[in-house]
Amino acid sequence: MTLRIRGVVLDAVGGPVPGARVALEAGPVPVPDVALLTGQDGTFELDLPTPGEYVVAVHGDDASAQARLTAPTESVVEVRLDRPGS
Amino acid sequence: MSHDDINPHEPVAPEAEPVDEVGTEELTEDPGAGDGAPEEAAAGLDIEPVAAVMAQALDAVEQAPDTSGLRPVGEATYGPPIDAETVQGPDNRVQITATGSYPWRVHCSLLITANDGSQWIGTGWFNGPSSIITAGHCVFIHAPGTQRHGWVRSIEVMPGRNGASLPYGRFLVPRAQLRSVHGWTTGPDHEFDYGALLLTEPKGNATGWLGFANWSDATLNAKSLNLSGYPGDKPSGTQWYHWSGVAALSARKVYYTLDTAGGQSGSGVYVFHEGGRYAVAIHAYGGSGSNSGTRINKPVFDNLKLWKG
Repeated sequence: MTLRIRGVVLDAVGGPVPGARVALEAGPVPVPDVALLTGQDGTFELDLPTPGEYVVAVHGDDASAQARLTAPTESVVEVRLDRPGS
Repeated sequence: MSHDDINPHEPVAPEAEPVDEVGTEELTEDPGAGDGAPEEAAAGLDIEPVAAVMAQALDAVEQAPDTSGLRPVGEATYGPPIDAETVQGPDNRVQITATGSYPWRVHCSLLITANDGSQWIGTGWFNGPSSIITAGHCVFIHAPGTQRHGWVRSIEVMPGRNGASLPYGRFLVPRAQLRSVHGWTTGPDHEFDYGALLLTEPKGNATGWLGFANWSDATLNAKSLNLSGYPGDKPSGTQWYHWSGVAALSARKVYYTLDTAGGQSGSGVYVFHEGGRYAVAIHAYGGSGSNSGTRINKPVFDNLKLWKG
């Protein structure tokens, strides 16, 4: 069965960010080097290869952020883009 | 004594081991520069000329004060990393802006629409006039029990993309024209993570393509690895290049310290050989230790040649 996390990407004032690039940046095993684009409502659903601790990286046009989570204990994440991107 | 229906004299052989897949014969399929502006002379190169400026900068960095004992400032906010990140050490990727010229125009930004309608970004590269190679997980997504699982719906291809600039336009490749291998679609098994997009028109005649090769460990260990693709941690749709040595080899994988990020899956990991550029792996994984790609061993070489047509 697929291990899935759900999330939403918000801007500095709490509005949804569509088209942000969401990717697993670190995890307990090597992770596929693809990135998911958030929907019009800023939401995303990302699948994990195995339980464990992950870093989810989010990149918008002018800001970036990360979130750390442990799956499957944590399955919902909110990421706020409020600092300059790379 | 019964032998059922099997002829007891039917020849048998040991099941092939992964190491046998590299083989003893080194195989190459040549690159092509396409119909566009001619390529810069590549004879004698080991890394791309654009890397020279960065290499000089790195030399300067090496003479700077030793700050290796200091912790990354990001840890103040996020704590220490779980594991090595896909961008390893200093980020010395080089942005490519002349993406309309060879070899940069063979690299394609991919916009993938999965079976559930979700959209993803990846990278592919022309290996011939009518075929683009990428990672298996860019064409077939494993998410059992969900609508996402299976072949993706379609992939929009943008060769040589530079942000909003599309020097070779864009085109849609539908599900029916995608290919991968049994080891990936029934897996997922990271050792078989590769696939292809077969085109109905020879778009690669304009862009050119990378060669590809099945080479021995000894040959590969003497080479620098080059990679260019479309990372999601950089401005949208921009192409970035990096190079490194080989970190480790197995029969089905190549490991390296090339800096990558989500969006670069499918990039060609290539080396210079007699003035040409030859892919030796298909980038697929990051995020834990060294990054890695699917090695172009003999079976992979044969499939890339089959898909090239």
